[in-house]
Amino acid sequence: MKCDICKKNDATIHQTIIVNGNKEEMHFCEECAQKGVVGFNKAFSMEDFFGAFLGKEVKTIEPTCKSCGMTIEQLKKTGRLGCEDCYNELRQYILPVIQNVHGRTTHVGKTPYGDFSETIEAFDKKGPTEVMDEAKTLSVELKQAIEKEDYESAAIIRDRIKVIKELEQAKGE
Amino acid sequence: MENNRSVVVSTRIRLARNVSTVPFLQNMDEKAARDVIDNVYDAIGKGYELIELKNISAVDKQILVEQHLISPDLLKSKWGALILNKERTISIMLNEEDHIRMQCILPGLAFSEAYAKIDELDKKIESMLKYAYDSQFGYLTACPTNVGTGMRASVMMHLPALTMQGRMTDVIRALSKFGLTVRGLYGEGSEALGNMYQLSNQVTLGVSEKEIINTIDNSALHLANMEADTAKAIYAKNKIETEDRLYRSYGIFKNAHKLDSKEMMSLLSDIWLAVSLGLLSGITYDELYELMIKAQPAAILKKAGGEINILERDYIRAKMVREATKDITYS
Repeated sequence: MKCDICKKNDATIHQTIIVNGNKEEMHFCEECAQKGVVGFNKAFSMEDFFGAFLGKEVKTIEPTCKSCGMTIEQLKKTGRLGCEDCYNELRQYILPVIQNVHGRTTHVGKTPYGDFSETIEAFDKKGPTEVMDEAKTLSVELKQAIEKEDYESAAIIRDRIKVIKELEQAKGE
Repeated sequence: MENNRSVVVSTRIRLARNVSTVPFLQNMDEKAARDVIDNVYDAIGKGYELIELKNISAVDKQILVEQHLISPDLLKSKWGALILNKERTISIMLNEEDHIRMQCILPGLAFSEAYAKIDELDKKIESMLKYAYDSQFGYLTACPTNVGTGMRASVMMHLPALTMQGRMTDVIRALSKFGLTVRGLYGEGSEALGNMYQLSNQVTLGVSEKEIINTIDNSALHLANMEADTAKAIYAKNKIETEDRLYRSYGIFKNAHKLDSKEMMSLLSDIWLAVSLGLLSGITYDELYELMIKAQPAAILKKAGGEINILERDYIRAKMVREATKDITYS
């Protein structure tokens, strides 16, 4: 889906708004949304932004977690989320806050499937071909695990491959 | 290393976890809160004691805070509970800001041992309960400031010489560059009573548990050496003044019949420094720390066994101090 504003980038932010009494879904790319109103750093109000864009009077519906009913306004007041699903439902609004607090947005370290930080460390010490060999070996192991219906091991192997691939991409950049 | 023991009081690691599909505290009902308590208590097995806060007195609750076994926030929760091991090195707060906040406290600088213990406990609970987890944000917590590892690693340090020299502001600024924050004896917003400071990591996301521990472990070690060197330098430069001040404090400690908690903390810090400089002996750092905790307001109230006024409280405190310091001698 393309961004409603620039019509070029992929839309990653979705917002329900009310235009002249009718509900409409709007879709934006991060770049266009940043220019206006994402998250907590409102340059001007949602209404002004959409209104100027559409040339009509516009009311926005406040982003709300479908599971627990938590709204962004409530989050701003208490600083606490209502349930685990809030992170998913309100991800686009929470992301800038998390970026601001932690300076990063992706978890590393212990996971319910094991701790991959050592894999990462080991990767840093190895050369590129060795790493590719490891990824290949792991792919074979993954297939075997799935054949044996050992999904727990499969999940661990899958995540290790994911980490290796992500790191390789990061190094390549 | 003796050098560290004189400066590093204790090491603490805390993990924040929430049970998947159960709403966070503010949206929770009594049944869900009950389930969290029962399920965690069942998961960890034998050898632990369960204390439900609604069943104990206000004084007993305050003592748990003074002993660093619970946070003041747990007192605000309707369904707060605490699980303790026999040695009281492991405490698990339930239904605080997050469903589960487990911590391991050990004397001195002991991060690898503390992490091993807390990791084992975490795995035990995780084998029985599914935690709220997100592949991008890691372990999910009620407040976005704790997501990721959910880990807070901290170390309590006694830093009288650096404080005396007015260097703490610079130290705090330097540590913040490594993502570490410094707080007082009782955590956020509290004063550095008795020159006690708590050093902890600020960031929990995008840094692995091992990296967090390495950073704080190295910083604590570095700071401990800096403190010890500074103390020695102050003493070497101002021998008579230092001895006069510390021995005077010892004189008050040994003879006072009324001590408020602020004065006690400041004198205790002087005695601690005198022991580390070899001016006094006959008491260990552990005994000094134990005295510090035992002489806090709620603990004294409990010891008195009933309503007492401030004068009586300060009298009991002074008596405790005299008793605890009777074996101290000039070296």
